[in-house]
Amino acid sequence: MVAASIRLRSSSAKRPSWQSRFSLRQGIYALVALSLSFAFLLPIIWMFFASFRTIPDLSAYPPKLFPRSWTFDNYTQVFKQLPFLRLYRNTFLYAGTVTLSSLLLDSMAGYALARLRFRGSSVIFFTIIILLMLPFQVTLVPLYLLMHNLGLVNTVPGLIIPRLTNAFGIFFMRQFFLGLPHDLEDAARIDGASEWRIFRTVIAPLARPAYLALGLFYFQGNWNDLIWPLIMTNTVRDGTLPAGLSLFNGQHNINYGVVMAGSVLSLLPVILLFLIVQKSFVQGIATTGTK
Amino acid sequence: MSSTDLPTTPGKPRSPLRGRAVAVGVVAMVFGVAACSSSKHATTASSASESTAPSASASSSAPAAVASSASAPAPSSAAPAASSAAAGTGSGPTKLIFWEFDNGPDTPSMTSIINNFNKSQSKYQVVDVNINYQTLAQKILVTMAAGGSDGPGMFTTSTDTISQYVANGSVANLDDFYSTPASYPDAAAILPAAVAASHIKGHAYAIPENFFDEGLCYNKDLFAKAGIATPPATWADFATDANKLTIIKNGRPSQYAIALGDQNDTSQFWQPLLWNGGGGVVSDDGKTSLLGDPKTISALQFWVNGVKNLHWSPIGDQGPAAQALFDTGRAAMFPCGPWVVGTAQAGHINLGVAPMPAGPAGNFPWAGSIVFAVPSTDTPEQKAAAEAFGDFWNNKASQFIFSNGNGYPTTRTDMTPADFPNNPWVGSFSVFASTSKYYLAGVPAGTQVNNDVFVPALDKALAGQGTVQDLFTSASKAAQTLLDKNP
Amino acid sequence: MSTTEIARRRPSFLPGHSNQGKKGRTPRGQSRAAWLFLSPSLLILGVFVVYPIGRALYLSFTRYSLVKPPHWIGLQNYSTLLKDPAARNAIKNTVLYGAVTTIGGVVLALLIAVLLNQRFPFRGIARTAVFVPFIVSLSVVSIAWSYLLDPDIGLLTYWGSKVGISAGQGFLVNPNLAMVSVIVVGIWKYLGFYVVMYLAALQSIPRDLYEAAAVDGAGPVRRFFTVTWPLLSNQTMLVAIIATITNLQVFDQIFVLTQGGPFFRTETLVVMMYRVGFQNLQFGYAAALSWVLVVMLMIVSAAQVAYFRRRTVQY
Repeated sequence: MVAASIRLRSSSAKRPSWQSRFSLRQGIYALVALSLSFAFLLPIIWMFFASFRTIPDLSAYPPKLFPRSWTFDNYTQVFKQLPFLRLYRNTFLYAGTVTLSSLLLDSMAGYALARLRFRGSSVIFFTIIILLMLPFQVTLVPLYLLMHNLGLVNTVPGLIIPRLTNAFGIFFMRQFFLGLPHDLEDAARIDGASEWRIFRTVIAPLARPAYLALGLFYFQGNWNDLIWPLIMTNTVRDGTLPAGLSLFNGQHNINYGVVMAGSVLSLLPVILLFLIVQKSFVQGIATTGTK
Repeated sequence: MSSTDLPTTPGKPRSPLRGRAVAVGVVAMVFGVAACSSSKHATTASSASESTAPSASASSSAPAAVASSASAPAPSSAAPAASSAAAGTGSGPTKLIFWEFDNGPDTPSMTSIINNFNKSQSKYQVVDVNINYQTLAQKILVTMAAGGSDGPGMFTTSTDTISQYVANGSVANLDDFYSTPASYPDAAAILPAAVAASHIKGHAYAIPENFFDEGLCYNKDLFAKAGIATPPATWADFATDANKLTIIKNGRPSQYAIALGDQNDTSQFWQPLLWNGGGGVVSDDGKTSLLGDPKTISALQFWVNGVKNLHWSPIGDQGPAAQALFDTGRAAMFPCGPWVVGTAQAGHINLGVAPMPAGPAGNFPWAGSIVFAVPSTDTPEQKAAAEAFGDFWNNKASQFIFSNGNGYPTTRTDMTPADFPNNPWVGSFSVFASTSKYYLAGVPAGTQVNNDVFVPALDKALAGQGTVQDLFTSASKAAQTLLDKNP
Repeated sequence: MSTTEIARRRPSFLPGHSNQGKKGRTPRGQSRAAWLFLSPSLLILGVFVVYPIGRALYLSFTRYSLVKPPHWIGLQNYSTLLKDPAARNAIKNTVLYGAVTTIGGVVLALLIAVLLNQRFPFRGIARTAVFVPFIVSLSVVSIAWSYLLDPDIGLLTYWGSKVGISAGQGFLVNPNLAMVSVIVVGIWKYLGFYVVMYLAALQSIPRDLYEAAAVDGAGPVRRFFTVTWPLLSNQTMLVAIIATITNLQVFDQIFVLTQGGPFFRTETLVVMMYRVGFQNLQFGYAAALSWVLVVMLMIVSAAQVAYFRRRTVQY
């Protein structure tokens, strides 16, 4: 991002004074952007404060964004009723494994589709596009039956293997690789490097931003996924966070304060991850499909 | 120039990182697969202790509920784990995986009764798996599609959904549970109404977990504030009281007389309103739609007018939202079951419970029951285990734990509220009238009639998208078509 | 304006563009490498995605209650579908939701990306804020939305009433506002991802193109339409396709906020599929519905590719 802003104002060679750096226009931009930020964050800010509220406070009128009184009871309840650290671990292993594996396999497939010439590449590409289009709700049952026949229900491999690669990621990585210049790999080919070597040492290093973007996409998707882990695991302790949190949604009553506390706790790692990769992130998709 | 920016600048410093990332990926995969294979065994071997652990820890947080029995939840859950590990290799107790959706105040009682059962004998071992109630039904269906072997040996469901399973032959016939008093002595003590609810077309398919009549919960403080001494006994009383209890401020209600949900999960609240008016959704034999019946129409006209025009109740609420209004004192009444007791107490509501107001045709409370059902794919041993547990669940000691813990009425004919000196609520939701009815029990198309026909028509009427007469006349035709298609 | 620069930016979406390597090893060697690169993914996708999809196709020709084995009924599900007013309603709602959410989302994303590409204080905070909804679980955050939109205790309802916006019986209950509400939540959730994609594309537009346009006397608006928009068209296509696929499959927030109600006003195809399949136990019919969705997606995606290809070629 720093690089980007330098590039944008490359003409201003001398060090600008405060006034010229932050003009009236920039002030307006900042104002608009900050109100936008508030609008976007409002439901999340609400969730955060709701996790510290008592039930009567949550439904009191007039509604207020800030708690009238603070309670930590919701958080105590979450830890009392769920083996939360274990669920963290399970979810982290699940989302992490699936993310890393997908990044590797998807980028390999995307590389082949974008940069290598072979018969059938169009057919495969179009098939992959169609795979993107079928809603998961309808493949859920046939997939479950398949896992059952393979004896993989209620096992970790059963949970993970179908997610080791993903049509969306192949599509995404292909679009990214198409945008890269050919000079580098051509040079490497002339030097007699193998395709694997070219992929590993020339192409993959250039794809870091795309890896980050896609990685975040996968990680949040699997971290938050409810239905697949729920169907494929049998006990609370073997399950993931969303499945555990769903136990707070009772048939008759739901303690929303506790639900929100659990949700805030499950949200933290993803936000943290985002903040870590955020710097490299905007460049992330920089060349996807644009060149 | 910026396009060359990306490849050149980042290229150098990032290249080692890339290699490392890939390496990490491969390592993680290997690790993942290794973790898989090792924990597959872990899953089967240790699931007994694992699944009971969360509920056991929850039980320690609810002091009053299980004081009598939860002497040592930790050891009791550890012991069966050890024996089950042995069971994996050969002889030992028959393991029965039990999926249940209890939550809140029911959980500690459930946990301790299961522990007691496992300690009481050595033939069977029940393994408790707590699942969210919405997803339990979905998981059940998916495992049934796969032949049932991944699924539970026993699960909880409600009487209005079990007919679907019965129609498809996916739950086992439990006639022997009720006909062999030698093996199942406590079956004979179960309330006749609860036994009836477990039967469809003359055969038993379920064992009651609980049984209650819906009542009218009311907030005594709000009633006092409005100058009302007793809960409404008739529709006319209700109308008078409701108009006093509905408070409109700045053009919108700041207090509702009643929180009547009108969604798929709350439509049973409307049934006593229709029944007391002499109507209903379907006839008692489940063959004829009554939605177009003049008595149904006039009952609906009375209640829709009250909700839509007089703002007695908010519209569009699901169960938990409706209950939240009552729990926080923003609705003065709520058609409720015993689950309200715990939350109302926590919300400091001065709770009163009365029968629903009687209508022109009398008083027909809605009866609810959660039941244990057994997949038809169970082995004879598993089925026997389920029936043994069902018997144990309904014995006096277990019923004491359950009702004392959460205020539900017992399932037994020989226990009275006097048996519960520490929980004054136990009697509150016992049978209000001998006329109480189940909603859609034994009707295979019941869920569809409710979700796809009744609720949408009700919502349309409440939103003012047509008259009650027109909407329900055409809804009745749609309902009849569904009933005829699924006899 | 440098035409070569633009020419290089022809859309790369279509297959065939991948065959750009002019020199290098023989296609035969590449072919072997390509299959090796593809094989792990193809194996997994083939077994765990293609096979279940094939099963779903088969099931769409059966009566299947999940608990009983499927029973072949030929085209009956599809002929029912053609006559079913509920299916027509779901298709209509899906198209409405998809069109508004996709077009609204893409336009808003572009506007916000252009704003966030300017230099101003707190830009980093704004970029993060816009993106955060994307990483939050939609079904969890929908609970927050249902609170915010509650007719009685909703913060947004309350603030709205202060400035004279009334939701009547409630945003999620009012038959006209319920769809608007789920659309707003849908746009809110995914906008951040599209903004980031646009931001990235914006940063790769060479500065000198703007400078050249400025020399020609173009103002900011004209510069946007002559430089930014055409150069972004490929990214727009990608964003639009991803958005279309996501939006036509909408499920989560509708399931939590309205369950498809009031009276099916927000029931989209996937929501209907869930109701028909898992509540009414007509899984064969649900499978047939899903193929309607696939056909819709293929038509829309093909139209998008055709549209954007024409646009870019003009330049």
